[in-house]
Amino acid sequence: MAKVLTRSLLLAAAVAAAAPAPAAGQATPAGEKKRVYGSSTTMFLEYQVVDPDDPTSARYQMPIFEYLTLGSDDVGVRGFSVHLSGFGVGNIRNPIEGDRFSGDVLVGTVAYRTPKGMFFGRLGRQVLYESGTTTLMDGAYLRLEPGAHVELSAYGGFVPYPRFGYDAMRVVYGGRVGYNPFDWGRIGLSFTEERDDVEGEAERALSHLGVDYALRRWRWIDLSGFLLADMVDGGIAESRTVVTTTPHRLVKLSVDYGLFDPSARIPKTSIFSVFTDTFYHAIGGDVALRTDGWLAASAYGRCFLYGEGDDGYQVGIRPSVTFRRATRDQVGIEASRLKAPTNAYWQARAYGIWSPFRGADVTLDVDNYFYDSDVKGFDRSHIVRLTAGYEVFRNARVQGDVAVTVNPDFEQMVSGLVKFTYAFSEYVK
Amino acid sequence: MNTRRRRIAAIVGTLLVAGLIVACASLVRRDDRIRFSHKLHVKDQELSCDSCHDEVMKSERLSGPMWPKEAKCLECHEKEEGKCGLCHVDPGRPRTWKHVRTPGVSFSHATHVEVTEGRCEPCHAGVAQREAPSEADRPIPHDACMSCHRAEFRKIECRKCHEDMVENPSRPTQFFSHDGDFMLRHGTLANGDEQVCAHCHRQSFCADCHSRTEVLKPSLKHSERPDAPLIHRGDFLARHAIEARLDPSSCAKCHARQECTTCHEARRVTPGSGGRFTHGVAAREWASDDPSDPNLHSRDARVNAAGCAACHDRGPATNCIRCHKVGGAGGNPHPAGWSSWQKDGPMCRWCHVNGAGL
Repeated sequence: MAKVLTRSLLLAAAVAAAAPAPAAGQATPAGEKKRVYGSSTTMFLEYQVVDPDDPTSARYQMPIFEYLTLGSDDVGVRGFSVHLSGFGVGNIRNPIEGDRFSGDVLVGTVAYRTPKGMFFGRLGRQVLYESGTTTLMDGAYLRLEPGAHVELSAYGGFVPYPRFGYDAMRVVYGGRVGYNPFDWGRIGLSFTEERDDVEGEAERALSHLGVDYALRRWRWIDLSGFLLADMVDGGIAESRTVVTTTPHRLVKLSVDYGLFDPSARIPKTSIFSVFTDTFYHAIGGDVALRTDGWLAASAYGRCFLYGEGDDGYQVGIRPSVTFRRATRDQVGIEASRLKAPTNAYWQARAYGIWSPFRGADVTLDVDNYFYDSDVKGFDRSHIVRLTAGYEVFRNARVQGDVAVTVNPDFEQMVSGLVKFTYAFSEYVK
Repeated sequence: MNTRRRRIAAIVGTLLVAGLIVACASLVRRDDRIRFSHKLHVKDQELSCDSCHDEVMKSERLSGPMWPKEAKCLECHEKEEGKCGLCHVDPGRPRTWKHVRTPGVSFSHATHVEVTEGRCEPCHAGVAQREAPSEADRPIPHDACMSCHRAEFRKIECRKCHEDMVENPSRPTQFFSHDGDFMLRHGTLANGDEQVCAHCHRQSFCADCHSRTEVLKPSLKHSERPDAPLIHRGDFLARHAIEARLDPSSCAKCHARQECTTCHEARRVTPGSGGRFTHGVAAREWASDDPSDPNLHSRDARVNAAGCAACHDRGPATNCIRCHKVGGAGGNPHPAGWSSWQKDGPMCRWCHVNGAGL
């Protein structure tokens, strides 16, 4: 973890150092406003942990979390922006792993965009959306829009796996050619490849050729999806298509179909990648209803077909009633049924949000699960969480939580949380 | 006889259905429309736009009617006054052209006309060629705005045009509104269209869940939002084994497979660490030499190979090869559908060192 933290700090330092670097662009005129934004979230938690020797014993963790975000647009040069967000954790009473302090950079980028948006470049730790899977990368991303709705992008870097000490060196690179007229949809062809040297020699760990598409030509119908082909073993790694329609401004329907190969996410250096015929299909849909006034509801259903029998499904409904739109006072319930090959459960949940006066809010969440087959001897779980928050002054908020849990790990657990949040977004000269 | 009766019945039925359709069609009221050819007026007569739309050219907002009134037409067509059929398709039931509101959008024709030097076509492309008014162009496509305002779009300065995106969502936000089961769909929508999400969300918002470095559940980090369909809510620790078997790919989107091992080891719930981990079933049901036993591990391996790899991908002693080898209890190590062309892949070398036996 120390190595990971060091690497993250180096990345943050590199991002910070690059920020004031002069770029070949149009300098921000004196007096023009620049946007500066940031946030700080500090959380003090207290909760029990799983103790395999005695699941009901009172052994506590008291981690402290700090999340920071800081960024600015048009810094020195018009179109130049900096964004940095990260977290630190101090776990000062960990009965299993001992005292631990860690942290990491979540996203840290410097970016430049030409005034008309024809060129965009971003350097640092970033999240990629250029292929079917979302990838975190330390590297560079470039996008060019030469005109006629054509988009060209290329990227390269390293995939960080800083969690739990896994520190493989994996290189990722790829690109995309897209046609994006925006108003009627888009189509793109992408390629992404990861090379893994965890075994000492670089192998093609993952290699995907992707097609992404969207169609929104008709006013109330929107189709979007992607298809990823596995370029190492051949075949389809993943595909997903969603069709959404809004037949009435208050009703939204969507139907989706997905085809997944879980083994396509395993590096090809792994013996388990032999399971290349483990496709399963997910077919489902959801419907959402919202009225101009107080009622909103959504329902969803999805079945999973594995081809080996023992198929699964998930269905649920979430109606809610809003009393005062201005203050978001609301009560809602959720009922769902999930059936997996090995077990199944019913969920029954109710929640409420109440704002007694300006700047204050109270929430209550009662969540219950009833298992078909006992989990560690328990046939049900109950979680009750009460939160109370107050905006102490502009952009600053304090919140306290208390939760009581009865689940297969604890006969009874009481946990608490105190959270301080400060977020701002200002235009400054 | 029966055949003849059927034929007669089919003919009568067809006639009845056809009659019903005609009757219904006649009940559909055809609203009055205005005949107007922009081509005739602008191209052939060479009239400028402000000849008719002079009030629009001066307007600062979209709140008022954008079409000239009858009096404006009569400035030229005074001889046709009273000949309603010249413009009205149904002069017996004339109606006023309905004004389509564009709520929540601030737009000044006066300012834009200054920039375009009085020309309307940069936004209303092709209108001068049109033989009849069309509702298809109202409001004008967002793309037409983008031809000049892409910089603002990229900088997420939506409020330069959209006054209130919450109360009056524009077309893109309406398509991407987060109701229903949006949590399941958002990845598909975001793929390849990062800019749309970037209107409201910065990358750190995505990284909260997708960074793989997140140490706090999103549902705990945002516990004051019980209305949001956040993942890992409630006692997810107890449920995660059930849900991981239902949709293993959804776990793999954010979590590296090594996370299972490390967490299970830290909490001593793995075999060999003094834990009581049993794959949720009796050992004999899970893996057995007896062909009459269900051997559930085989089914699970096909549904969730990544889940197996989380713990067992540590060399031949820990994985399938331990039993599935020539002469081993598990028999043929190559699964059904094995392709012989996959020779000498990285996984082959676990057994076939230096390609031996391939």
